[in-house]
Amino acid sequence: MKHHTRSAVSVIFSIGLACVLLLLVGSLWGQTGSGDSNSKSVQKSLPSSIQIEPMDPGDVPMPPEFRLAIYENLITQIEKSGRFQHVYRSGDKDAASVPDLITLRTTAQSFKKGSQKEREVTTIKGSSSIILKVHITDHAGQTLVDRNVEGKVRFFGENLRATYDFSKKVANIVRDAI
Amino acid sequence: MFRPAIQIRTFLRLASRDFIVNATAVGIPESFEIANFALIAYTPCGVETHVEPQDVSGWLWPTRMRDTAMGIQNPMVNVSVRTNSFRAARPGMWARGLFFLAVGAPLMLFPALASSQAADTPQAAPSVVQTDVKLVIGGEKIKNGSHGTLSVVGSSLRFATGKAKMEVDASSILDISTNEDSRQDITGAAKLATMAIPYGGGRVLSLFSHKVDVLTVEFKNANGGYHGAIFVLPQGQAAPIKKQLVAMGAKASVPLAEPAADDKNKNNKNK
Repeated sequence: MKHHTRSAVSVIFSIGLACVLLLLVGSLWGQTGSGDSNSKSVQKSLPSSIQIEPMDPGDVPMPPEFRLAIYENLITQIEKSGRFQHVYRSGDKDAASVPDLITLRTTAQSFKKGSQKEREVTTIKGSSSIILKVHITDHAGQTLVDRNVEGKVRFFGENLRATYDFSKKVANIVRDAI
Repeated sequence: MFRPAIQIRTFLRLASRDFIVNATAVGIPESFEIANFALIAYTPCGVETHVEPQDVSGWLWPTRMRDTAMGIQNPMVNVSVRTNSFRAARPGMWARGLFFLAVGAPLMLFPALASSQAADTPQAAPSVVQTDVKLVIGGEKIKNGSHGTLSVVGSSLRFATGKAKMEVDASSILDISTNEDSRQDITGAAKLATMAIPYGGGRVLSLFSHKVDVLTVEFKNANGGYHGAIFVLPQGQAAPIKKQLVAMGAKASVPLAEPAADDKNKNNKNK
């Protein structure tokens, strides 16, 4: 009697173990399958690369350091956002072969170079601000984002900090909109 | 001149146990002050004997050398024993001496030759050097806000900190411009500390500032990618660097004559 009970328990245990293993394998397979389909859909709908063009000052006179600071800060902040696999600089030869590349262009609308001294002494005067039009298009030329963004420094910091503020805002817009 | 003398002396100590080697055999140039080092000979028993210069005047005269300093094709070995009684040296000693000569002469003359070659090859010395330059933005591997040395080396602009350096070839510079700006004297942690001063005393300290030059460089990397770098230098130091780079092929949209003034005028018009 005892022998029969022991053998039955071992059979039940082995069957149970096999079931658990089957379930585990099945669930893992299902997860990888669904992951693949998810990544495929992401790759299809969302662009993986962005190219950033230098700022176009237009008719607005702007010191070269501000133009360059905007460009470099944009690259840094968009890279930092982690939204894109590649962030290409303007003129990069590798960007030409990317099929889902989107392009970010900025055009100056207004610029006011304040004074750090005034800002810190008066706290109400001397703020720096830049307003730029942010225009993002896809590979086919279709507009994805087109809006004005302002960067400013009101109290603390050097004038160039306005470019940092602007770039952070643009990086947020890109992350949310695309 | 002193160092080879020591080497020769050591060599002679090693090589010539009981015979004296003529200096021409080891390729000593004519100008070499052979009389400066002590001539030491050894007896086979190891007893050191110093030789007076007048004793060796007959065979230690400066000898004309061939152009190649390393040439030992015809080593002239004077084996006349002058200071010991063992005049008839054994053939084994001769062979050993010749062997040491053959091996030692190139080794002995190598440092002198290497130093002369190093002196001949022109090293790219930086033509313009500016220390304590702040990189505001645009250093690929260098952190923004780093301080370092900006220099024009060869035909390129180099910014080096203690940890890393970046180099931009003058021909790849698309535009270079200078501008004037001002920076606060008190920055960083000290600036935060000034905020604690009561009755707005910290604001007064913000009045203290100094003028600086801002150097902006636009360039392309090897892959064609557009880059920009902004440097802050002490006042009046940006123009020489710009001038040097333009002379080496860098492009500049603003003329060299009055770069800072032009930019200043633009800014004033803007206001």
